[in-house]
Amino acid sequence: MRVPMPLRMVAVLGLTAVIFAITPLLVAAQSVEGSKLALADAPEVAIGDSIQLQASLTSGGIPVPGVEIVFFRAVEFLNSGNDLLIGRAMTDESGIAAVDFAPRSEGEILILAEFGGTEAVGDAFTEGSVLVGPGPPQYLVEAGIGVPGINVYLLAGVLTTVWGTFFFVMTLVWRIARDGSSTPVPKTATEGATGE
Amino acid sequence: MESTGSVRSFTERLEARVLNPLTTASKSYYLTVGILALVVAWGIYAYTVQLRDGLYVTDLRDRITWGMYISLFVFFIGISHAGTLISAILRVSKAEWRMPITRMAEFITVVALMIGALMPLIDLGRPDRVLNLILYGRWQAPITWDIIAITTYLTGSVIYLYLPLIPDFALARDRISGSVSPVKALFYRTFSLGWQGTPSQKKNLHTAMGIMMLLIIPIAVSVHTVVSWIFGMTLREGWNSPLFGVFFVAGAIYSGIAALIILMFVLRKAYSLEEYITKKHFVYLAYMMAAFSVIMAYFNILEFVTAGYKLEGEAEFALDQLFTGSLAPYYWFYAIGGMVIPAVIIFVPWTRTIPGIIAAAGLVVIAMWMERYFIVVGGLRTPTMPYEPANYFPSWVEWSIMAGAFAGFALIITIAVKILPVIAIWEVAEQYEKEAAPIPGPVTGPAPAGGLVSPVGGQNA
Repeated sequence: MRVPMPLRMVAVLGLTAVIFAITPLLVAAQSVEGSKLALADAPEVAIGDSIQLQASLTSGGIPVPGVEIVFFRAVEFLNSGNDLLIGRAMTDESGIAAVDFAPRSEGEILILAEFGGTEAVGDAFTEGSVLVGPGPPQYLVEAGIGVPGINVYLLAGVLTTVWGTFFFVMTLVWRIARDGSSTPVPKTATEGATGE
Repeated sequence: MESTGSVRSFTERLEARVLNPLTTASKSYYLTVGILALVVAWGIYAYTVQLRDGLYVTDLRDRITWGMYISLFVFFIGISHAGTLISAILRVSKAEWRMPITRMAEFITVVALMIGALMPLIDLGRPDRVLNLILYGRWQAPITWDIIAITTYLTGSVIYLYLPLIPDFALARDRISGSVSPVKALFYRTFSLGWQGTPSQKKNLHTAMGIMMLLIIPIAVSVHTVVSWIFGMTLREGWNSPLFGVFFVAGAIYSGIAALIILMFVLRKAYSLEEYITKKHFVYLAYMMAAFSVIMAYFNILEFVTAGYKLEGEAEFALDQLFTGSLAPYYWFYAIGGMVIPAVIIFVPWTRTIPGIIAAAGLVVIAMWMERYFIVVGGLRTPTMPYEPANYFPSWVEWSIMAGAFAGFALIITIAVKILPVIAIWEVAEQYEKEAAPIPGPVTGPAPAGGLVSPVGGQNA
């Protein structure tokens, strides 16, 4: 039986469309099934100390290397979640990604890790916590801009120059007085008139 | 020879006119001193009330902690710029017309600094704690810079006032020692430093004056800049402006010129100095005052248009209280009475008379005091936290101390003009000699110690 050409073309196009539509679903279904992200337990830490946060990614029990994991600190402000990015790291051959984290506030901090997924491996998400104890005060920064040479010594230098000049002027006044003492000062108006 | 005679005659008249007030005092002089002393005594009494009962007797409270006293501090430090401008800047620019008025300008500087520097002490409920500024003062604090700057300026101004007085003291020593009290004679003898007008003495004097006139200008500018930083270094609305330094310096010169015009008028009248202080001096100073009124108006526009356009933070409140609120009477008097009207009086030829110029100067002095007042009070009145703005109106103690301060300013000058010649006789004579006697010729007769050509002063009667 000979199928007409137009009908054959419709059948081919339809089959192609079905294959394109189904393939991603099949691939995704396959990867999601085996993808798992886990945060390693973090030790208790003091404010200001730095620790390493580790997350391991596996797919079907097999480590997934060379993909990016993103670490967040959970933050909520005015009922609106806006998590704070801690860092991004690539998984190594063991499927482990690590970032450094230096907590700046006390208490239990919720840590989130996220894998966005690839074509082969589905996305994954996990959370854990870090217990932060008290530590030395933070945000200790040196006040001022700190331009070299602009300091109290400059002020002292300017003042010394000004007052030194005053002193020099007073030595000139002293010279005037010295010259005057070497010339007899008239005692009366008439004598003064014959001054020099 | 004729010109020599003319110089001699001019110098004789000048010496007589300027030295005569040092030997005599009229009843009206003593009456003036008496009235001023009474007002000062009343001010001192008011201060003793404040010392006894604390700052509670003022209207200063926790929200408005600066008021009348700090306004007066800024005002008097501003007035002190008269000496620097007239004496130093005009001396540097070789404006010879300023010669007869330099001494008065230098008086104003020293006396205004003395009165102005007292005000922060009066503002302290516990004035003994001012020692803490020295014991525990920090270099980072603008108040420390202020103390250093004002001390330096006062010292420099006293030196600068004293230097051109040396030949005049010698002249007083030679001319009037016999007709004044022994104490006064000793004063002239001591402070004339044996001045004989020798070439060496003249050289040293001119060197010293040359150094001081250059040095005193940046010191004066720095003083009022630092005074402005007391306000400008804060984050308060209305004060937080980099323009404040130049604004304060311009305002200081503006009020300084006005104060000088008034003092010139009073001394000219009191001591019949019409021959030396002429209409020309009033008009030239008036032109400078008019120029500064335009500069001040420009700064006002800069300040308020930029703040008003953005209306950042509390700017709306700050500008409202100034333009339509509780401080509006002060602001509009300052804007119209202190800038527009004086400028109009001076720019219009038929009002540019001595009485017109005096009226303009009087308006400027009052307006500049008001400006200092609404800057200080307005800045503190603007709330920095959500609370109701406080109100402030000086108490009788504050008004009394203000009256005492002004009377003290006038009293010191009134007494000083009986000790110090109000005109730099030797400088004016030298200038006249230069202008009137272009052909040098031998001077007949003896020369006085001060280098002048007059023989014996005839003013001893």
